[in-house]
Amino acid sequence: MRNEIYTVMRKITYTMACCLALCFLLPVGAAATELQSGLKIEDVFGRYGKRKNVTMVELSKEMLETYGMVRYKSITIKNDDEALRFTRRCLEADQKGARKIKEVTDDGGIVSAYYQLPSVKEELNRFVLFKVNKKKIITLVYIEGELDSEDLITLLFANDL
Amino acid sequence: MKEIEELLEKYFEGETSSAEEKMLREYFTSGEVAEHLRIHAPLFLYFKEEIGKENVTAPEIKTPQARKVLLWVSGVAAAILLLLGIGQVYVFRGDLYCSDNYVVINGRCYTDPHTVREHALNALQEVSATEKDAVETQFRELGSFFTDDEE
Repeated sequence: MRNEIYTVMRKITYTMACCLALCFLLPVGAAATELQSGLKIEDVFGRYGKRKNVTMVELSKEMLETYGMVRYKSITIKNDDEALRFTRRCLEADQKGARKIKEVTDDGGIVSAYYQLPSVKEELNRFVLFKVNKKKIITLVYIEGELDSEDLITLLFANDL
Repeated sequence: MKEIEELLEKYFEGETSSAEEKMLREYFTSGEVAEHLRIHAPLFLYFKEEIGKENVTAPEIKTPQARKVLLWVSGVAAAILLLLGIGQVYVFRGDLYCSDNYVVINGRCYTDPHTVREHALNALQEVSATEKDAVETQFRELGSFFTDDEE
């Protein structure tokens, strides 16, 4: 009887150890789905994504197939000066080596920008779109996919997005 | 002898205590069993052997100290798992419930495809409106430049 108890306890301990190991591995798996190449703007999503007055969207797979994208992530932050400063700093860091499709600055700060980031995978283009409007609403979009800059512009200015 | 017979009767009726059963086992395995009771001897011999086996395996059982450690480790592991579980729910709430397509509004996650799509399009329209705004701003600035010149 006592032996059986020990066997059961050993099994429980072993199962718990396995679960524990899985728990530690889970965040690693989640981190693997984050934006590629450790972009600084990743911090904007992580830092402000779940706050008040913030809307964060993430799309992947079938919802994006028709647009030639594999990843879409956007964040809209309302009236937050600190977030604006932080986002601009992140953009400045990420734009190094990027192709500036368009950039508008006002009083030294970026007001709107389209950047094409260097590819980290073949046939996978990465874009960062940014805008802060007159009402101080910050919009930051990250797009990943086969689409090129022309496709993106066409998409942005199409009336039936 | 009569005592053994009475005990045996009680035993078969299932009314014996463990001490009385021990007494019976000892009697039937002593080798001095009355002729008319020998028929029951193999049964008690078998029980004694089984008990002996259990006693032989007893030293393999971990000491109470090891048992305590095992219990303690199991307890700690269970506590860590529980904390991690709770932590995952709070920290990775968005990631857990918002797997592929989602929108987080004021910290709350929504996965309804229409809502998600609507907010994605809103963001894209917002950034695409930049071009129009920029042109308007430039025209306005140009306009004010000419107005200033005329004055």
